[in-house]
Amino acid sequence: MTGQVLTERAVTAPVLTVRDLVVAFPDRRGQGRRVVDGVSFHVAAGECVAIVGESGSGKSVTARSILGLAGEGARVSATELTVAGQDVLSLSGRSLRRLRGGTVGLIAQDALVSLDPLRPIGREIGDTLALHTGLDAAARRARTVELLERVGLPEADLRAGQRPGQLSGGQRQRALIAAGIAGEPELLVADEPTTALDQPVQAGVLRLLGQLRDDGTGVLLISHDLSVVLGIADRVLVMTDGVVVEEGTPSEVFERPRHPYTRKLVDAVPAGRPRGLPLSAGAPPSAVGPRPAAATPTAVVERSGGSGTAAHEATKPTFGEVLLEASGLSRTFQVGGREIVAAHDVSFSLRAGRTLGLVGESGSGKSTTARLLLGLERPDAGEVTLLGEPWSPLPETERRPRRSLLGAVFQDALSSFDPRWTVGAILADAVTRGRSTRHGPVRAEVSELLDTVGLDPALATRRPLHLSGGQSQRVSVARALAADPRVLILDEPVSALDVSVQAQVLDLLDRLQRERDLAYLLITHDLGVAVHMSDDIAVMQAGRIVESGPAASVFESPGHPYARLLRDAVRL
Amino acid sequence: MAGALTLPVPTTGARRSPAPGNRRWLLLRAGGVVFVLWAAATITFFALRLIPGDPAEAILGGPGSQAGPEALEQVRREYGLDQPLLVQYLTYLGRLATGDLGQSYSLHKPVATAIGEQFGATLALALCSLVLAWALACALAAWSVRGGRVAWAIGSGLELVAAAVPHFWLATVLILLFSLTLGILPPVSVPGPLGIVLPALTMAIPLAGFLGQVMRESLLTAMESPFVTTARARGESEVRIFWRHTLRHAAIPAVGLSGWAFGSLISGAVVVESVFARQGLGRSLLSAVQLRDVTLVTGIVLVVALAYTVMTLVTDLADRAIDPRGRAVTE
Repeated sequence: MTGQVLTERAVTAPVLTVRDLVVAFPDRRGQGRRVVDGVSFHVAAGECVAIVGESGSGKSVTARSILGLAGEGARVSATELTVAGQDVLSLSGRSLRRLRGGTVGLIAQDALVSLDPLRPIGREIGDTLALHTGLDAAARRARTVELLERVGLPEADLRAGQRPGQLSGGQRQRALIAAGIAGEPELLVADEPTTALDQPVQAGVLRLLGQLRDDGTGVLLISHDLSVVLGIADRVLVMTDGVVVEEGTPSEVFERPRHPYTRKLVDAVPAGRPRGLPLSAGAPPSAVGPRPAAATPTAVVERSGGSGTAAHEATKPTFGEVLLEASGLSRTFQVGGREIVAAHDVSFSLRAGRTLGLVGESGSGKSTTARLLLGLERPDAGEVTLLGEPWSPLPETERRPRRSLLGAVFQDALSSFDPRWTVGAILADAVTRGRSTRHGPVRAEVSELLDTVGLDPALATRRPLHLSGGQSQRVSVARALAADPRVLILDEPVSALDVSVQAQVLDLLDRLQRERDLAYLLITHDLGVAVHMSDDIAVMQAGRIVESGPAASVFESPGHPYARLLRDAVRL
Repeated sequence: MAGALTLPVPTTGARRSPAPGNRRWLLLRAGGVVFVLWAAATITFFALRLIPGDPAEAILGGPGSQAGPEALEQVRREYGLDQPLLVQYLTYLGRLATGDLGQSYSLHKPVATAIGEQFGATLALALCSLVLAWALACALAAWSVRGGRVAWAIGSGLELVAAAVPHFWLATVLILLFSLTLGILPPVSVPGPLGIVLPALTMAIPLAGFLGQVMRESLLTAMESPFVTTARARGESEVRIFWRHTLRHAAIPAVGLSGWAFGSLISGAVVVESVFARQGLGRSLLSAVQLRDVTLVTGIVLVVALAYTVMTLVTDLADRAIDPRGRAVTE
């Protein structure tokens, strides 16, 4: 596309040149563990270069080495590491501090914690100005407001006095960018700048980075998400295990990936992949193939009739049967004298073997809806019916015997486990419905559960902190399945996972649904995931369902402006 | 407490509302102060009635005084001790409400006057100790953060030892070191600023150890927070990062405990004032208890309770200044 322009840009002196960068962290044996192993690239003024890779690929360490912030004990070496003509590796003390913020600006991931949560954002920006400009206090204040306006923050002078916690996710990320560009750096290092954000907000922040690039700043964008860098990067580097395995324009990398790892990454992106198609390469072939459509229940009855034990069969629901029904659910919270409508007149039904995707930005009431269904929250109005019998707002004592019908998987699996319990104890607790955490008597069931979610039964002796992100989420799925539920509430089940791990977990959920005819409520802020997984989609905004219908039609021809906004954000 | 409420927080991107108005908060807290004072007064009143022995006898100089029945009868009438307990209690509360703390039997002057003479010395001692303790704790934290792993280990070891030493032992060691060996500070309290150094140090060192221990944990968390990386990435020096960011986060729990620490300083004053022969409420309390001077004990307890609640209020205000995020809505 812009090959001509690219060559021209490459001719101009690069802002950043990295040649044969090696970063090693000493391990216990004194042997250096290389997390970055011979990485070379350059960024020109007005160019955006993206490094894409999963956690542990070395992309963040690469980015931070440029500021001399690779981490404690890191051994950094390179044939060349220069920013605007300065050799970073030979700098120290004062001159290194002048480089940071003045020549290279860093924009980190989540502004809620990347800006000091106790201080107003204006102070943080003012600090950068005090360090890198000769402005006096009054001029700094004026410049701070200017910067906040530049990054598109409305009512900038008011915002300058607010703390990160008082701003929305997108607003504080913009404030973080303002702090990053306050020293007028020639190079911006943006390390996962949009990861914590909803898609429409994410699109806005990326557009802002694009503008800064167009104004002549070199941008190094680090992301785990290929689709994020597509619209903005001039060149993409794909990193894994500390090595760059592929480099090219976004369209080259995305449409004609050469390296197997890149192909795996591209395949794992759920957006635009039809329902039922496995995302991860290793998925069993039995999962491949079109799902039975809801309109052909006969075929489904046959299918369920041919599998499972007789005991199972008696309890097995008919495909498409309504298992859970929410009608007119409302919940309002009082916070500091203000009313927040978390759910208003929310109605839908969950059917056996089918998935309802609930999408919307954070704060739209998705999680509150999940809590209402699970009976963790009492609705102000409306009710939930489970298998034709009333469920909420029943008293908990009457609800408890039927709790096992409803399972839940949450975003942060790790914090939903007791860190002192082993995986075996966690699952034994779920299998015995809370009567015992002793793994021994239920060893067979626990092994079967672990096997079901594709984990080695030997993992039962491990503790949650020693599991990877994907493993924890699988354990959490296993726990949800332990009591043999009919309905699973999946609240952002893959949002914290790398894209290839996300693909595996989504494939797992899909397979389980086929095998057990589970009804899913899939809550996600990622419309790509929702479309890939769901039969129907409901879009939530400000506590209301503003649009609902079959997944394809909501995605292809959204009626409500908010649904359109969501869709455009995915397409970028 | 009103501040510890955790509301169910919907996952909302909307701005969190500001904490409830400062005036309402202050009113609530002032109500709390009144309640604590009433409770302290009530508990002391009934606790002292539970001690075996005749209060009238105590007024006349204890069981050894050989006072005749008429004398006892007269004292009972004079002090209202012949009234039913409830009437005595209400009269007592009524007098307290008008600020009348009664007459000290042992000193033969109004309790308020007796306390007024002693209160300043103890308050000065407690405040000096508190400031000194904070300075020591912060200095040690700064040093052990900058000094690497060894300094960290030494720092936390020192804190452990400091928090564990008893006042009377520390006082003796300090007197031996600074007065008898080095000869730079007086062994007993003398008027003027020099006299307060050793007593204040005696109380500050264990408290510094305690505050440091509380800070250390949150110091680690704060040091690894992403905002520290952001500060480094904008070119901030390590010293400024420590004083501007890390220490502020680390201090939050320790500030919250300073109200309690102040209370412990006043009880520490009982020992320290005696060891250094320093005048103050602590020593007065000790002798009042020994002489069974009920009104004086009650008066001192009330004043200490008042000082304690006021100090708690002050630390709560400091806490809100350091950590302006609304306490009611946690993240």
